[in-house]
Amino acid sequence: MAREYIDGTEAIVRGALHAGCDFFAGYPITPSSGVLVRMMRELPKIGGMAVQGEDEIASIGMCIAASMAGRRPLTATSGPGISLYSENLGLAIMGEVPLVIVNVQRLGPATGGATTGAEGDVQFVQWVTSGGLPMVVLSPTDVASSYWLTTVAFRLAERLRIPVILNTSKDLVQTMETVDVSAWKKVPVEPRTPFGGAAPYVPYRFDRLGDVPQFLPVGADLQVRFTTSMHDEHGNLTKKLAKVDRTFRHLQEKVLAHLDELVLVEEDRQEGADTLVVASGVSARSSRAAVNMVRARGGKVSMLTVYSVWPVPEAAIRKAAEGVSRVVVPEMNVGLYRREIERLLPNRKTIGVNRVDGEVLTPDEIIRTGELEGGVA
Amino acid sequence: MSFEVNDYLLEKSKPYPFCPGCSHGQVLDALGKALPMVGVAPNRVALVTDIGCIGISDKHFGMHTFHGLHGRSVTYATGLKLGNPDLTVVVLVGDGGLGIGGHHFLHAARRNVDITVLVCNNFNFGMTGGQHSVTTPHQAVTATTSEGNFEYPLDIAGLVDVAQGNFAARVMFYDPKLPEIIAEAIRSPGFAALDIWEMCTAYYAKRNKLNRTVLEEQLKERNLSTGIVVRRERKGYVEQYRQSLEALQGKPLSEGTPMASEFPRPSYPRQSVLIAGRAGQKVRSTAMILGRAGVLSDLYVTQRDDYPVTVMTGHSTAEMIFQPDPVNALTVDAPDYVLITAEEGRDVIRERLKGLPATSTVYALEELLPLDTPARVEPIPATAVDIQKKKTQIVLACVAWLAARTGVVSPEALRRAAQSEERQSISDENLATLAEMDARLARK
Ligand SMILES: Cc1ncc(C[n+]2csc(CCOP(=O)(O)OP(=O)(O)O)c2C)c(N)n1
Ligand code: SF4
Ligand SMILES: [Mg+2]
Repeated sequence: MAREYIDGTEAIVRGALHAGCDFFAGYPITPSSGVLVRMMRELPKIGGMAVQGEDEIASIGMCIAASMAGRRPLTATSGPGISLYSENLGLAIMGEVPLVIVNVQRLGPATGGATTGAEGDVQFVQWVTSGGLPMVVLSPTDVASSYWLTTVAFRLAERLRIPVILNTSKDLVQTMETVDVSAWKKVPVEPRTPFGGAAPYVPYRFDRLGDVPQFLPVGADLQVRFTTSMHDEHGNLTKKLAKVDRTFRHLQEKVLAHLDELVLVEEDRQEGADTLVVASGVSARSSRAAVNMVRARGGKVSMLTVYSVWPVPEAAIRKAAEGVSRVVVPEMNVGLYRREIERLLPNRKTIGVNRVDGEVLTPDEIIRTGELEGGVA
Repeated sequence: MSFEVNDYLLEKSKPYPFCPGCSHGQVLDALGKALPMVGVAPNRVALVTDIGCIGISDKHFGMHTFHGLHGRSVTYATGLKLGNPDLTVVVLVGDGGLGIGGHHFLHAARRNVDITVLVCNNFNFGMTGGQHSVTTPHQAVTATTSEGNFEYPLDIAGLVDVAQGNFAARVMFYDPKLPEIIAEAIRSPGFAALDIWEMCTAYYAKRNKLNRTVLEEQLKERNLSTGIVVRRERKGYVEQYRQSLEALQGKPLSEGTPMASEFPRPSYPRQSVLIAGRAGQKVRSTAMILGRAGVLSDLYVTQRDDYPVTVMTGHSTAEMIFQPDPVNALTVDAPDYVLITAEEGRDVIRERLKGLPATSTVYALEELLPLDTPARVEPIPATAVDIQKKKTQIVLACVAWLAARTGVVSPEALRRAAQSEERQSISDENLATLAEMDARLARK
C-alpha cells in the first residue's frame, strides 16, 4: 500500500500527465489555479508546453490549436472562465477537437463566491455552447476518482475527437485526503486513429454517422483543413442541405453511438429498500456516508453514484430505480440534476436535498430532509 | 527545393468570392507570391483565417488552413506555433477581427510569439454590412455612424510598437512591394504584423470618397508613414521558452512521497476535528501535519479548508475527519472536537458552536472565552501554548494540546509528521515547538 495525503488538484494533474497530456494553457482563477500552477511546473520536465494565457478565451484557443497540431491538451477553469470558454467549446465540437476541460465549480452566478463551493454548473456544462449538441461531462466524487476520471476524459476526448469536461468542485480539488495510490484505477489512452490512406487527406470523412474521422495534425506532410464553419468532408464551407444535415447528425451520433463507453455509474442496491439516493460530485460522498449510517442502524436504502453526468445515463438510472417508490437527490444547487430524474422517473416521488450557501451537505442533513429513516412522526 | 506560387495559392480555386473591386483578392495574391520567396514548404505553413470576408479564403490555399472564431485567430496561431514550433504560421484577419481580438494581438506582440499577422484593414466590417470598426477614420460614414464617426481610429502598427513586438509595417494594398514586405515579415523572428490599408467596395468605398489619393492623404493627416515602422531584435517566444525552462527538462515529475503506517492505529471508530483560526496563523499547514500524522497512524483522513478570497486576512478553518476506513462525508453536523485559536475563526463558526451537542468538546484559547455553546468548553491557558513571541507556532502548540487530550493521533505520530516539511528550518521550528509542548504536558 502506498498511502499519500493529497488533494484533488494533485490527482487531476497526475491523471493528466499519466494520460499523456503534453500541453496546457489556462488563466488563474480560484479554485482551479492549482492545476495551472502545477502544470506550468511539471510539463517542461517532459518537454511539454504550458502557457498562462492572457485570458480564458486565449487559453482555450491555444489548447484547441495545439490539439490540432497533434498535442494532447488540458485546460482548467471555474465559473466565470467556463462562461468565457463557451464559444470555443462549440468550435471544439464543430472542428472535432480532442480537449479535456476541468471545470472547478464555485458558487455563481458571475464572480459569485471565489472560495465558496457549489454544484451550480451541472446543467450549464451540458448546453455550454450554442447549437444544441450534447457535451460529455464526467464528475468525480473524491481524490481517487479525480485521477481515474481525468484519464477517462482523455481517453474519450482522444478517441471520439470531442471536448470532454471534468466537472469537479472547490471541495473536491482543495480537500486533502488519504489515498492509496497503488489502488488507483486508470484507463489507457490510445492515440487518435491516424489517416492511413493515399493523398489527398479528406479531414472530415466518415462512413457511418457515428464514426470518428481519421486524424492528421496541422503540419503533416499532407494538407489539413480545420474549420469552425459548417463544412463538408473536405473542411470547406458548405450550405448544401444534405451535407449540412450529414455533418450535424454526425457530430451528434459520434457521441450517441458510443453511449455504452460513456456510462459510468456505481449502483449499490439493497434488496427491500423503498428509497434510492442518486448523487454525483461531492454530494455523492455525503450521500454515501448517509446511506452507510442508515444501513448500520438497520434501515434500507439503495444508492446510485453517477460519474458520467452527461449524457444522462438514462437506462442505468431507470434500472436502479426499479422497485423503489422514492428517489432522493442531494445537490449543492437548487435541484438541477433532480430535473433529469423527475423527467426519467415520473411515477416516483422525487425529493431534493439542497444547499446553496456553499456548505457541503452533511450526511445527517440528507437523512433528515430525504427522510431516509422515515418521516417525522 | 524551390516552390512556386501555385503550391500555396491554388490557381484552380479562383475566382475569389469577394465583391468586384474588393482589395482582399490582391492581398491573397501577394501572400501567394510572398511564400515562395520565403521558400518554406507548403506543408510546413499553417494559415489561420479569422472571420469576415477575409476569412473565407481557406479554400484558395494549398498549405494547412485553420478557420476559427471571430477575433481569436491570433490565439490559434499561438497554439499552433507552440504545439509545433517547426510550423510557419500566418494569420489573415480583418480590422473587425483585430478590434474584437485586440487583446490577443497585443499580447502576442508583447510575448513576441513567432507568428505573422496580416491585418486586412478596410476600415469597416465588410461581411456584416459595413458597420464601423476600430480603424474607421474620424468623420467617416458607415452603417452605424450615419452622421460621421466621432470615435478615433486605432493605429495597428503603433500598437505593435508599444507592445514591443519585433516587426510592424504599414502598407497599401496596391503597393507592388507588398509580397516582399510580407516575405520579410514572415522571415523576421518573433512577432510580425502588417497593417494593410484596403478598399471595401461594397460598403466603405460607397459611403466615403476612397481612392489612392484619399488613402495617402489620410496617412499624412494622421502623421503616419508606409513601410517598415517597427523593427526589433528581441528573442522570439519559442526560443525564450526553451531557454528559460531548459533547467526543468528531464527532471522527474513530482509524484509525492508515499507514507507507511508507522504508528499503531488509535482504536476509535471515527473522530472529527474542526480547527478555527485566523489567516496567517498557519492553520492549513498545521492541519496538514495533523492529517499526515493520521495517515502515519494507519487512518483515513480528510481535511476541508475554508478561507476568504484574500488569503492573508480573515478566518481560516480546517475541518478534519479521522477513521480506519475510507472517509465519505467531508463534513458532519457536530464535530467531536473544535479547536479555536483566533477571534476570526470563532466568529465564523458561531452558529455551528450554538448547535453542538453536549458530547462535543471545544478547546479554545482562554482569551477567546466565553463561548455560546452547549458543548463542553475547555480553555487553553495562554501560558500553556506561548512557545515563542511571534505566535506563528500557536496553532501547532494548540494541536499538540488537543492531540494529547483527545488521542486523535499520538505525540510520536505528530512529531514524525512535522518533520516531513520541505524546508529544514520549518521542520526544526516545528519539532522544537512539539518538544516544548511534550515537556509542558508531561509536567502537568
Ligand atoms: C463573436 C462574434 N461576433 C460577431 C460576429 C459577426 N461577424 C462576422 S464577420 C464580422 C466583422 C468582420 O469584419 P472584418 O474583420 O473587418 O472583416 P471584413 O469582412 O471586413 O473582411 C462580424 C462582426 C461573429 N462571427 N462572431
Ligand atoms: S463586403 Fe467589402 S470586404 Fe466583403 S467582399 Fe465585399 S468589398 Fe470585400
Ligand atoms: Mg474589415
